[in-house]
Amino acid sequence: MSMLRIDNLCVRYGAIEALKGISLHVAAGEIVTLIGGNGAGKSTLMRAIAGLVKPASGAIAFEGRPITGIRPHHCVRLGIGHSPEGRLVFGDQSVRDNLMLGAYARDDADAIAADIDKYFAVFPRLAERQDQQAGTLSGGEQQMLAIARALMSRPKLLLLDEPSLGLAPLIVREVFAVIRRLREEGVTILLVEQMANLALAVADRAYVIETGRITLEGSGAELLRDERVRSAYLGA
Amino acid sequence: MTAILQALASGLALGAIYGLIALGFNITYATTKTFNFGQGAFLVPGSLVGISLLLLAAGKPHWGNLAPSEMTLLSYALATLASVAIVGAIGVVLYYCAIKPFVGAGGLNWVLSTIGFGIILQNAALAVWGPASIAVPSPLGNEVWRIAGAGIRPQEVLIAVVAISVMVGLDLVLRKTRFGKALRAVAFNPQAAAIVGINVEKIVIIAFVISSSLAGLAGMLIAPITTASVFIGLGVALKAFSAAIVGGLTSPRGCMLGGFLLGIIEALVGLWRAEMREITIFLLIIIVLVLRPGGLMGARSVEKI
Repeated sequence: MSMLRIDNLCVRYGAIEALKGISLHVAAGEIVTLIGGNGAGKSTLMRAIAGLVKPASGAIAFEGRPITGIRPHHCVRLGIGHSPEGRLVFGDQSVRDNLMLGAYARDDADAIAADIDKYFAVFPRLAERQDQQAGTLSGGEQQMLAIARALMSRPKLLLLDEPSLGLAPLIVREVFAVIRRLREEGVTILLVEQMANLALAVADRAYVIETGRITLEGSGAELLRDERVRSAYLGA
Repeated sequence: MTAILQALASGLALGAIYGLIALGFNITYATTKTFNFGQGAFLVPGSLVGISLLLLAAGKPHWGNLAPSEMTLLSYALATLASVAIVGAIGVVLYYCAIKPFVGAGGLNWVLSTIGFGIILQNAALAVWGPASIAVPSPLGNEVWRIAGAGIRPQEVLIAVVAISVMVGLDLVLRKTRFGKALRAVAFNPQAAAIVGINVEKIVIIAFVISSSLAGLAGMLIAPITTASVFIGLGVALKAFSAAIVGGLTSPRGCMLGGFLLGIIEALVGLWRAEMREITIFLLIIIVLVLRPGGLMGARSVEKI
């Protein structure tokens, strides 16, 4: 059974059709990536899964139950964590408080404290800056914080939207090392990424999305070799 | 010198009232970018419900004269809590009628809808209590206290103590508690708050309850000085609004500071020439806003892109 199944999803912003019938699925334990150009609808799809935009039609099911159109704070409780495009860390609160807020849907205080320690070990720079306001962190550090904050809800599925956006190449490599590590821990990941080569290299399967439609799908390795993908997204 | 001391005490009490109401503007503005333009009307039930409860408890009709002997500090406190709770509940109605339909839609419809809600509330109070004012005794007695030669009204001391305690308490709640951090998360970015599992609408409703409760509390605190009536709120709320803008609508501490500044300046200038009071205050407000458009403690974001 798929952890996430999306059938014929359409999202409209006024007269603009952002998603025109998207169908895809993510199995438990997989890393699935969505690649596509600017404005293709990648982030809209992520936002629809997280409950931030209401679909015009179509269905989203998580672990077999329909979640189409439910409110975002319910999505978190079902097990969907979202590290959004633009990171959106709470800039006026400390790094530690950002992580605490990431666990807002949980009430197991001891386990929350243990998870904070765990992610401080994964991201040592967050530990160094735990009392600093999140808004004063560098872009890379904010990205780490956004990912850690999403993980604090102990999601079964992590939506990772453009984690490399605006980061220096060295930091991007660090972010992808974290993604590999999360896979080893068994977190299921849906990854939206402009850096198609990196995303395809880490992904089990991938979808190419163009102007609101899925135009190609296959394993990460297959798409890395695909001529159309190479010319459009890999600059080869 | 004694006159100045006396004016400072009055100014501090008045400023505390402005600060309480201004804090109410801050808390809803932070979470929704809207606030209740009809907030003045919320002081009305705050004071009238309170005094009526005290009258009823003394075995009298809801409208009349309450003798100081018919009230204790405890009964005043209980009546205050009850009226604060009732005005807080009116805040929920305000949210659903005047805010929810318009919030996030852009435009200024919420300005008119909140003013309209206030006018409806005020006229409903007029129907129940009529236009005449009710004298409210202070639970600490109406006899002036002599402190260093200056005559200070006990109610002014009570106002300052209660209002400052509430402000300090609320400041702690906002900075230290899980609820306060969630509220600040909503204020920072509602969508980011929603994706960590915060029920944004619930937080917003609580913000309106707190804001309305603060206005209700202000009404009950000020009633022994101004009397309780349908007309007490408007002038006070306008000053509180000015206090919020001067101090910085986005900063809780700025709103409190603005309240105290306005109250004290008003009292001190009034000592010199009463007719210069409003002129001085609003001139100062304009000067502050020219020099610091975001208010004295208005937010300057530290966010890096």
